[in-house]
Amino acid sequence: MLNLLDTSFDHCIKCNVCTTRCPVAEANPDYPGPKQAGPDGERLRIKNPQLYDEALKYCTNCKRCEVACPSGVQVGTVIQRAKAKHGGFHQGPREFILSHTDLVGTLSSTAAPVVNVATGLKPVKTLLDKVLGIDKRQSLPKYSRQTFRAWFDPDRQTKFERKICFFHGCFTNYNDPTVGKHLVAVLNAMNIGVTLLKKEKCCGVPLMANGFFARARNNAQLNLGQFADKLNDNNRVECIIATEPSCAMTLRDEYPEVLQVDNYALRDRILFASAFIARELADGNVPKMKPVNLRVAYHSPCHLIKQGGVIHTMELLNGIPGLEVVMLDQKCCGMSGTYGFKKENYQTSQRIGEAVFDQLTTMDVDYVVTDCESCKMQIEMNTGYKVLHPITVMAQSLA
Amino acid sequence: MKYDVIVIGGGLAGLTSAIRCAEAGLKSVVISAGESALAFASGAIDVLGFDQHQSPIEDPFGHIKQLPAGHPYHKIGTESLRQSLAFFQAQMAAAGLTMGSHGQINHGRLTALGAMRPAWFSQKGAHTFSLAAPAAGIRHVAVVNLAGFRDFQPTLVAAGLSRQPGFADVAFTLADIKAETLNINARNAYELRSLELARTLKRDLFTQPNGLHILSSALQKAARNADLVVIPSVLAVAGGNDLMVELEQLSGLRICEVATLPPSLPGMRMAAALQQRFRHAGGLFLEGDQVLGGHFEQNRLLSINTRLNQDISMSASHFVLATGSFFSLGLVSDRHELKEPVFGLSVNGTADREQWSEECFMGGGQHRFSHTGVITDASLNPCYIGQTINNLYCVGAVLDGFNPVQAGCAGGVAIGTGWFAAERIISAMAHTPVRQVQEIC
Amino acid sequence: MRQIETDVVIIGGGATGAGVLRDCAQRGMRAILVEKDDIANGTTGRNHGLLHSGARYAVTDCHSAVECIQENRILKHVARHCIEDTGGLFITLPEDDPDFQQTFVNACRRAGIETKILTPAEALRVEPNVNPRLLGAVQVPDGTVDPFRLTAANILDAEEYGGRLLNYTRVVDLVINQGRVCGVNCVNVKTGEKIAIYAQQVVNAAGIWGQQICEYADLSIRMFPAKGSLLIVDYRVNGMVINRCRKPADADILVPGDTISLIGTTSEKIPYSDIENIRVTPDEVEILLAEGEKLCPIMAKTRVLRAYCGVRPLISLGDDPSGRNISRGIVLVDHGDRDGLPGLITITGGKLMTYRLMAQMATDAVAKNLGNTQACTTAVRPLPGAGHDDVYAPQVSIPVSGSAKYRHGERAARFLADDKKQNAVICECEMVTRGEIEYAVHNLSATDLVDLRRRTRVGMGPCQGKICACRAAGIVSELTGEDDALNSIGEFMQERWKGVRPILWGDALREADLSYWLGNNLLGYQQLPSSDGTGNLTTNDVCFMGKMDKEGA
Repeated sequence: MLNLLDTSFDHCIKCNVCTTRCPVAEANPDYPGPKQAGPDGERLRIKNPQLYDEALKYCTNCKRCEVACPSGVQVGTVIQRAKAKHGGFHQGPREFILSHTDLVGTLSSTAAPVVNVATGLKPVKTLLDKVLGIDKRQSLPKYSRQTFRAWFDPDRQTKFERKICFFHGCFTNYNDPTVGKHLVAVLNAMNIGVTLLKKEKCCGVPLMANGFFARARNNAQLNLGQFADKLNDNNRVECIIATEPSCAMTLRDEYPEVLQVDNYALRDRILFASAFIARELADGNVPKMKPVNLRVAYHSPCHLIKQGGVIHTMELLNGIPGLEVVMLDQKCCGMSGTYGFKKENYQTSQRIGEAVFDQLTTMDVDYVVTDCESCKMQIEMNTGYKVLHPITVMAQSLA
Repeated sequence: MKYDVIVIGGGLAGLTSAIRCAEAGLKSVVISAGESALAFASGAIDVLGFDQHQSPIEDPFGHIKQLPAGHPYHKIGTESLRQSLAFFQAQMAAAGLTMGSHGQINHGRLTALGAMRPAWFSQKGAHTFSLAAPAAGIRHVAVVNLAGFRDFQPTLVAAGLSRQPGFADVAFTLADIKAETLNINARNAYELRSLELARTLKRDLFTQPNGLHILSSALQKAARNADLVVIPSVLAVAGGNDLMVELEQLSGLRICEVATLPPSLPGMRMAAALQQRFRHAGGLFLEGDQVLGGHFEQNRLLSINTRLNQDISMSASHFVLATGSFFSLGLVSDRHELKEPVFGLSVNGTADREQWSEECFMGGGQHRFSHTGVITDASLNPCYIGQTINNLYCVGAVLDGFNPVQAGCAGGVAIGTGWFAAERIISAMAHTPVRQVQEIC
Repeated sequence: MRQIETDVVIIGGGATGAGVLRDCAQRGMRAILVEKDDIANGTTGRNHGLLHSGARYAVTDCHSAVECIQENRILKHVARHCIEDTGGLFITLPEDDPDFQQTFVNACRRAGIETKILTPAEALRVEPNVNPRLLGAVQVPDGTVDPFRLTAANILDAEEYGGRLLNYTRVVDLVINQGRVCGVNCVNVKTGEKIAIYAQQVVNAAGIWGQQICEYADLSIRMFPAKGSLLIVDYRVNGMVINRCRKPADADILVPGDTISLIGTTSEKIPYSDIENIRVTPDEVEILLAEGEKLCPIMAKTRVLRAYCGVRPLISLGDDPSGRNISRGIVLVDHGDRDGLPGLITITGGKLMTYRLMAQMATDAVAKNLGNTQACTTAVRPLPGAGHDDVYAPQVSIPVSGSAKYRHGERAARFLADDKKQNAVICECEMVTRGEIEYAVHNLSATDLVDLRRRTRVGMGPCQGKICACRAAGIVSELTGEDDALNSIGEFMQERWKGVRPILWGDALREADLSYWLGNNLLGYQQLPSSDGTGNLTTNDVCFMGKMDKEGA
């Protein structure tokens, strides 16, 4: 059942392991690190809320501390909740714009050509930098003229007996529908049809990262209601699939753990795309593929590691003929969604990513592959490599 | 998902098993519920350090037959143990981590309290003392801290070391090289943990062309021509051992790095080397997931489920349980029971809580919690509801029958049993018909 | 033998003895306190740390209740930094007599204790973790008090007025001359040095050990020791003190104390000969957990950090061996009046809560005998740290400065310096800096790691010293120049272990397993040869090494 009172910090045995993994503490000396910000600080904050340390704002919620913790302490969640409880989020217009991805996306897609040109212009970038604090060295994601939902044709999916529901997320819908289109192609090649939710709201990741918890909770409730409609429909939709790791982690884990929204009845039927496809491959549902003859470096996103999904993506990639995969050291790229866009975080974000950038410069591969759009932006901006989603690679191999 | 081998636990024992399996061409995956105990380990390997009277011993292999019945060494045998150690040493070397030894006898490893623990292998950069005459050739020791590092107290190292045989007349120089001397620019250098200090040194000192020279001359100045200079292991994780050698050459000093309270950099180095070897051999290392249980049929474990992928079961021909002791959650307890939490395997326990430990803490050699574990047969196969499970092997600290701290055999048992289980699996796989590898067209 | 002459010598470094030392010093008397161990090591430091409102005694003992509420108000003023005004609840559960609440409220009113009746919903709002099955609650002005810091603050103040503390000094006899007590013979238990202290008045404030002091003069004061056991949980599960609204019984008070919560106590009469060998039994642990869960159900899944027990000094006057005339109130005996042996005053009974009043009563008696007419000012002069000056410490983080101020009040300004080395955190669970440790050693008479814990909370958090003990030992050794820092680590860890062992399961066992691994494997503590160089230690040596070295002289 849903555990409403999170006391996992109680299991901390002060082994210091989390402090070795925190990419922020490594890059930014002003951050006290996950042990102090998380379980150590929590005991103090329970004693007296005035002992809240505002340096918790530097946490990116990458969850690496949780992956490393041998005691099962949800360090990142402890910190997120503390920030929410003690007013640890700065919420200005910048945070609003960066976090309300579906609202801003709807507005921007309509005027995509203008917005795309404008946000690429130097004076606009300077203005955003000065007025809003969005670092001018970052390139804001472009908007797609045609949203994924507008492109998607449900009539072409009716012929498939099996069906899944695709949770496309904001990026695929508004910024770049490529991965969504490729997922449809891959699943169709596996004789599986794709449906969409009647109505889809942002999963809540950027909202939570910027402290809009009430809004995120509303989205969670709306999305879960939609999931229930889909999955309980007689039309037999097998599961909900997301191609963005952070969306999948949020839908599966953050809804109950951070937002305290109960998804218990549906959780097992919300899957990251690779998990679903890897299982199909294992069960013998292998689409016709031709060798791609590529050598790629695979970067595992933090939030995919956290949800135990790397194994599935690796299975998926290993199933593509003619694909040689070199796994990068599992380091954080530093972007963390909206974090890297903020002026005050730019340097930290770049420093965190250095390990990934450095490793790539010594490598001879055709592409970098990663599941996360935010990692993709960061890696493309900082290395010469083009970055592909695993589903895209698979789509390219379809015969 | 189907594997040849699923190893549960990514510490020394689990990874030794996994590397051996992966090298033999088996499709292997390691599932690790967080960082292993290597982050708290010295980075040296002990095989057998003490006899039953708690006296340090030089010849571990000669003493194995005197170990009490039920000790894992009796199950794997001396020959396997030797082979496993050779395998381990070669693997570490391949990952660039040189493990030194004193041939066929133990040497002394210096601790951050100036104590001496018998060890079989030590990392290059740690001075290996002769157990018989630790002070041989040493008249003057300098204990030098860096940047006021909290987890290294030169006074304690000197106090402990001066109690060792032959050290009574040795002169001690205690010093601290100031953060400013090392060009360290941190919010508060006095608060840095070992790894944080290493990162800061990398950023602020070693990126400078003369960085190593600065450190070297500061050490020379602080050490005042001492025969041995003891420093905390804070210089670097990756490449830390080579850095020590360079530093010795540059300064002309004999330097000994000592592992400190967690995180222990030499331990982390070993963990990194093991993971690198496993990945190199084609294995998949999954961290942050926890195995919740398995599906058994008669004498076999067929598949497991994990916390993060409860809906997808993972099957394998063989499984290795290397989940460690209590602090790694390989064993758990409540008010009335000691348990193995993953599968509920039989554990050598008692319901009487007062029997789990001794009144004396540090000297409590017979703490049952340190000695107890999963009961296995001669092949390291455990018992599940009265049935021996033939394709599940228990290795390392989760095992019953030895006290890794008191006997000084944690490293040897981990490597020895891990390797032994892998050999069993490899030979079993060789006797089963080769799987049809599905060709993807 | 060293000889010292003074006006008053006080035996016993609990809260009462420290209070007498302070009171004497403030009234201009020369006074010395002798304590056989460290301050607050006896009953003072082994109870709830509950700042009673008196409500608990209102129904059964109105006199005690009135004393409590009066002292409660005084301490909230003079010992502000040792007190937390949390408020308290007396909750009625379905299994409790529902009529008791009214009896209770009436009794409180008679004693002058303000009460406020809360509905279950209101109680849950002010105390979210309280048992939701409650039928009702009464809010009273209970609070918490830190006995270690309270005692240390009294000593510090006394020293600033010229009083002296000799800790680790055991009284081995009373000096009796011509039918009059005129001093004490002592031994320093660390060095073995013999000391004779001559004084006009000797105050026996040795609590349960006071019987032995009286026996030196063949006087009869009979103690009836009652053992009380308590458990400490990892964090504050409750923000207010929670009591059961019923007649006082076992394990029915849950107190938030600093970063943790305490549940207690059990009560068991024990023979006087057993007072040095008490331990918490598994049965007591079960009772404490079961009753604690009834107050706050979250206790069931909260990690227990430690268990400890103390001895209540219940006293019987005269030669009555049955204990029928047993007193729970304050007992002041001027043995000159009662037994014809002038020069000796015994102050005992009472509670931590009434330590100041007890000290005042004893000091009044001393003053009368010495012809001192100075008025007592301990009820109005704030203790050091209880002032209102703000501590400005922008150079450290809020958790560090906040914790320091919480422990030391405005005196925290003395060590929250603009010095990085001083500001480095040594104990990460409780946010103790190097500066605070140095302050405790220099100003609060901490001599070793174990003492340091009582002044600063070093090693009292979840890690139970495994990370900070070595750090702190290194600092103490640098400051004191004493080279037994290594022994002190073992002694400290053993002291911690004593509290952990009765609750060794779950995360406490994990913590102990890691601690044992780090101490003996990574650091090789057990392999350290003894300091005389006679080879390796045996098991027993490691266990008792600290003590052996100390008492070896």
